[in-house]
Amino acid sequence: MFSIAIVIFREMFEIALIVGVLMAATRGLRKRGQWVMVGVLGGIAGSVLIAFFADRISQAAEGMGQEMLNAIILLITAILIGWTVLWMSRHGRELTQHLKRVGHSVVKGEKPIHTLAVVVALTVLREGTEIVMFTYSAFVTGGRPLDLILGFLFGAFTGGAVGVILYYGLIKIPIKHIFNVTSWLLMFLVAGMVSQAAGYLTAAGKLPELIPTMWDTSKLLSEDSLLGEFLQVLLGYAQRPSGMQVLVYAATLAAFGCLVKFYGETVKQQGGTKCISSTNW
Amino acid sequence: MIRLIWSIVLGTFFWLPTICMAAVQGEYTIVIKDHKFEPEQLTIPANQKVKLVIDNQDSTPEEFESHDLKREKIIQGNSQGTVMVGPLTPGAYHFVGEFHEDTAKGVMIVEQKEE
Repeated sequence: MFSIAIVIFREMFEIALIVGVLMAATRGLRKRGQWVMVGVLGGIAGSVLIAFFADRISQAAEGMGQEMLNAIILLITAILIGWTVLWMSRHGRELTQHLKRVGHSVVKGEKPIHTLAVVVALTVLREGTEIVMFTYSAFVTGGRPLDLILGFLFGAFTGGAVGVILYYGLIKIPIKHIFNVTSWLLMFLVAGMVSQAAGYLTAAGKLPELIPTMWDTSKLLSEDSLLGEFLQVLLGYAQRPSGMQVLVYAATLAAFGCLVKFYGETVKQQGGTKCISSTNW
Repeated sequence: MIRLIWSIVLGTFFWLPTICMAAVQGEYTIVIKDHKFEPEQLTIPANQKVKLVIDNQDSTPEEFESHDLKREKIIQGNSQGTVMVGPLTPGAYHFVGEFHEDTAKGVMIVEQKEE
């Protein structure tokens, strides 16, 4: 039972961390809980579908289909989260004022809310495929159904709880600072995702490593440890990153930082009235 | 807006030269049977790009995973998967079958070739 719980916990943990930050980051958007649920359900459906076609995907791209698919999913997720952060940085001020005034979700935000659903779906999809395959494997191997179900529930529940704790921790941050904090967090998360995608592309032979191992901190902080995994998901920590991964991480962070700084702020200054009118208050 | 982000992300990749990709210099097969690797220890030469064919002869899927090699790959039951590794520096690189971590363990020894 415990081996099942551990695997499920690990996958759920990753999903929950990302969804937790996203929920906190989009605080104040109307109906975001519903859209997150839509995303989760879509992700589960997609996971089953991908698990079903796993063999065909594996054979694609000269046997590198899985790596390519993972890289593409990561890149799309990163782009969509990036877009959401930019949107939030443009509209953060109104959202903050809204939250202060009414204290609950009222702001209309059609675009990011749909993006949010897609991002959640893709995140669930990435980890969910592994959950589906693992559960299937454990089931066929002849694990006792009760052990399987208990392990699954226990892992899913504890993994999910981490996300809930993270979410409530984040929303404790004073409203004045919350969008700043979550934007920064998401920027690192996005850089980590792009760098992870670069890792997959290297594995698929599409990108050179440049330098095979920039550093080795596996003894200091293993990716297998809970803290290691936590930092890997949120900040993109890697115990033995390649030169390419470090370069891509830095480049993404720099490019994204510039975008938020210039795009986010100029719009805020020029279009103050436009932003306000778009929320109809 | 999305197009702008796209172009930046893709740009980051494509201006980087994709040259210096070494050609594959060896092929090795690792069989998974009864949730165990066969062989459990594999020796490969250093500084070479090597193709690993993971032949899963069990009826259940398995995930070949190695933090040391920075590779993870799901291999369906009764099928094969390819993992490219290297060029690697000499050392021991551990790998596991993530779905049966108790039994599916292995290590790849990378050795400097005597010229």
